[in-house]
Amino acid sequence: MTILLEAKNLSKHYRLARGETLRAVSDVSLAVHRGEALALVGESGCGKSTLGRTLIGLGAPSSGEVFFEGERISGLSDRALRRWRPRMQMVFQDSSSTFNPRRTIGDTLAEPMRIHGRTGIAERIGTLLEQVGLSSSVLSRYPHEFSGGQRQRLNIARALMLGPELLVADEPTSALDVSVQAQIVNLLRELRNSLGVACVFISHDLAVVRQMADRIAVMYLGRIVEEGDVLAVLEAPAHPYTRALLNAVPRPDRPLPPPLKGDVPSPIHPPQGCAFHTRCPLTQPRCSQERPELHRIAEGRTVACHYPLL
Amino acid sequence: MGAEMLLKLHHLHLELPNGTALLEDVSLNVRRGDALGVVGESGSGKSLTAMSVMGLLPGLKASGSICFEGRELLGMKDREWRRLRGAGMAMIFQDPMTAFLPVRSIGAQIDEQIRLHDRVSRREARARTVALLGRMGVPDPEAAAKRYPHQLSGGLRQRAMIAMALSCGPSLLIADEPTTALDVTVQAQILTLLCEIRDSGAGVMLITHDMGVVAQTCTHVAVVYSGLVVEQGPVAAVMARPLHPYTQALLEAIPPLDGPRPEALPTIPGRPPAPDARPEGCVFAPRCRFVRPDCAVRPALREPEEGRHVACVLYDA
Amino acid sequence: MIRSFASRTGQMLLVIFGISVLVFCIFFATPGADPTARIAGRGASPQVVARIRAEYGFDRPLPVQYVTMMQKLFVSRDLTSFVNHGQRVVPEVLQAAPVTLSLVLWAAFFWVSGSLVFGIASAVLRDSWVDRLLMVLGLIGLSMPVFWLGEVVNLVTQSRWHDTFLFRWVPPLGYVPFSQSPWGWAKALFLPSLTLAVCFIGLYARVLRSELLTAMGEDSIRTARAKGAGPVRVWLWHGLRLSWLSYVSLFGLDFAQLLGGGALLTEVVFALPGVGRLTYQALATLDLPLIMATVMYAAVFVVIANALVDGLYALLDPRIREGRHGR
Repeated sequence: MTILLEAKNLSKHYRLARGETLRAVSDVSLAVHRGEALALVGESGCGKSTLGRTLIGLGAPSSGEVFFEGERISGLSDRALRRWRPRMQMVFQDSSSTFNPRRTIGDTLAEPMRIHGRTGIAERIGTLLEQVGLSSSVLSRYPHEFSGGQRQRLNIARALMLGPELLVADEPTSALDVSVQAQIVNLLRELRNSLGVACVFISHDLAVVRQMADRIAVMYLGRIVEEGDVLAVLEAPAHPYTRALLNAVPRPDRPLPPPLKGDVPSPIHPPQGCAFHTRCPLTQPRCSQERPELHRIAEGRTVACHYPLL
Repeated sequence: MGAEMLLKLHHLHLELPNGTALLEDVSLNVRRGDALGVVGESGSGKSLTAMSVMGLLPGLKASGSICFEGRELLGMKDREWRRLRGAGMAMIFQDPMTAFLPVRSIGAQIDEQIRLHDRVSRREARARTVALLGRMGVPDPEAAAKRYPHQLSGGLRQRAMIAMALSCGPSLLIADEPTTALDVTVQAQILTLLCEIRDSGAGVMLITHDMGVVAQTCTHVAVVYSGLVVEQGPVAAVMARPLHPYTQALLEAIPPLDGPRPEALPTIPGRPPAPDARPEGCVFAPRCRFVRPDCAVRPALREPEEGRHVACVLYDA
Repeated sequence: MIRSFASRTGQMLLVIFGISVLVFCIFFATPGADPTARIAGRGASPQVVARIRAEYGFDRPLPVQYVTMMQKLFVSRDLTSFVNHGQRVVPEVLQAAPVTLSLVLWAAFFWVSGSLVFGIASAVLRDSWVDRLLMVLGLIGLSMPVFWLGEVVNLVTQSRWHDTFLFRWVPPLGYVPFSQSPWGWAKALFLPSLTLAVCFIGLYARVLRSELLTAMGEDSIRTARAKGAGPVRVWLWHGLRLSWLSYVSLFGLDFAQLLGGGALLTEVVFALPGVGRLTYQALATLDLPLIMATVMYAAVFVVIANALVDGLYALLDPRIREGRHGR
């Protein structure tokens, strides 16, 4: 498999008032292979959304580089990036705000192709609507006439209009009810199989991620703490944080586990050493002094912990 | 099951002034020491049920019966209901950021509730507030009481909200999606707190869309669909063997967290009916995989097994 | 805290400086117009013109002229009106200020209390006939020109029905200083300030009504009701607390604007010797030094009032105190 998108030592920092810095993403390196689905998971403020946007050039990184098919796309001007845009698309969580309420669905769907001067718009829309499971009667209607699930289907269709090779989906199902969520999860999986498009799923829901992704990268306070095959990682997590996250998912088939103590620390003042040591049930003296680097523990499996569980 | 009955909703019916029924025939029981999970998807009427118990739905017409500690609430004067609100029954909300007044310290807001119901001095009220915050696991409660909602983390805000709800020792705590706005690790903390409250003898009514949350915190569950209770029973039994096709479908739609990964998740076709377009017969029939001709008559909530209620023709003897 | 106060004061001084430069440029550095002749007024003798030119340094570069002007306005305060035969301008403004202040304070009292009552009443009784009636009344108040209303009031209370029991108490037009007779002061200002307040009552009641209704839809109001708070407490304590902000900022600006001479028409109609009437006279006679002084006076008031409003904002909303916006 060839590497489609690669990030090297990517950081994104925001300057705040009073001279403080919010380190949303720190020193992240990752690769997405052609046709592969990578999930970025973590709690709010872990930097997963910022990372997802930075990866496809929505906002320049503070340092580090992003390569698409081996060519550097970070640091390019908006003009220069425009050539790459059709190949990378984004699906947002809130499908109600991504559509202009005063334009018809057909209009909105056609727009990306018009902008890039493509022809055969009508056929393309027809094919895509069929693929996302909607009839072409929706074209003359307005966004408010659709349910959340239908709007998310349209949203996905819009993102696929230009035939991208990479799709970044930020919490594509978290605003939906369980029964609708299952439909969208299935749809994304089908589309991935039939179109061979690579995906980056940003989500906080481990069960959804397990269903949709091939690989998983768990983030905590702007850094990747564990990465590997999704089934393997969730079967036997190596990082204590991954395990805590997994245990905290409320499931009908198991009792409430003892929760992790405390809150996620502020990304403005992250703890010294391992960022997780303030909440880690297995913390050792070394954890508060020395930050663990990501290291390989098995084939295709990395973890940033001094005392991994594997 | 000899515990004292705390709340009994009997054929609660709620409609808009134009006659559209939002809730049709909701019957629920909460006993002391019970936690009842009310589960449903958005628009199912689960929050409306909670709000009508609190009497916070002016402009809607309620009929049937809401019986709290042996007193009928429907038809009660607002003055009397007000005395119950916050004291006998209290409520916590989904987003503690917007649920608190943003311009006053959380301590002042908790003090206010205490002083609304008990004649105590400001000093005494504050002392109780600080003690409560401490009991809810807020670190440095004295300082936390002086902070404003936006200065606390989401988890601490929700703890403060629970402290406020418990400030006058209510016998019923209604929690409307209390963890939806929180991260999973913090959600687990708040759910643990709710379990402790339940174990201390209060009744809890937990409104949620998450079957997992219900399973882990509640003793009983009521599944709401399109303004009706379709299934009710003890949590363990319902999770192990759901009776109503809707409950079954809802549980199956949750992606598995271990074992083999299915190629596709089971889904429910279609979507719930709007309140003004509810089917005459079983409300779930248009989406049900077991639909049959006698579904055209709306099934009543029956008790096919001890303690388990379900509204489905499959269980009509 | 001290730092933000200092920076705030610095900003204020900077704004006042900017305004003074602007005003100076408009009056004295407009190409093609000789400021000397304008200060001297129409038909001044050549000796007077020469003296003015020397005194104000109009034969020297613009920055020097500016400094001279500001020195005369703020330090020596001996800026002299030549139209008015050598009257000093600054004391005149300072003398007029208490009159305007009294008028505006009274008006503010009326419009705040009036709009609170009307605004809350129509919000609580929204969509009832009371609400509609109040809003129509507000609209009428809002659209009545103040000079017309003033003249009508004068007509009714001073001549037509002056001798009836209703208006027998109304004193003749003009001002009575507080130090001379507090009762007379109040009587002299009652009708003028009420007239001035009428249009503000309409506007403020509308603003308050809509803000209150927005606030009542907030989650925190639902929480207040769930706590067992009664309707009075929910509306007045929680609802008002959330809807203050735009009301306060509007109030600050209007108050300052009126103090700075915005009550001109009212003062003229009721013959109150306030800053507004002074400005009116200065404009009528093209008395440049006086115009300069009144404009600067107004600018200072608006800037100070703005700073006070910002301070009040921070007091009312802790989120603003920390420089955060929204929620």
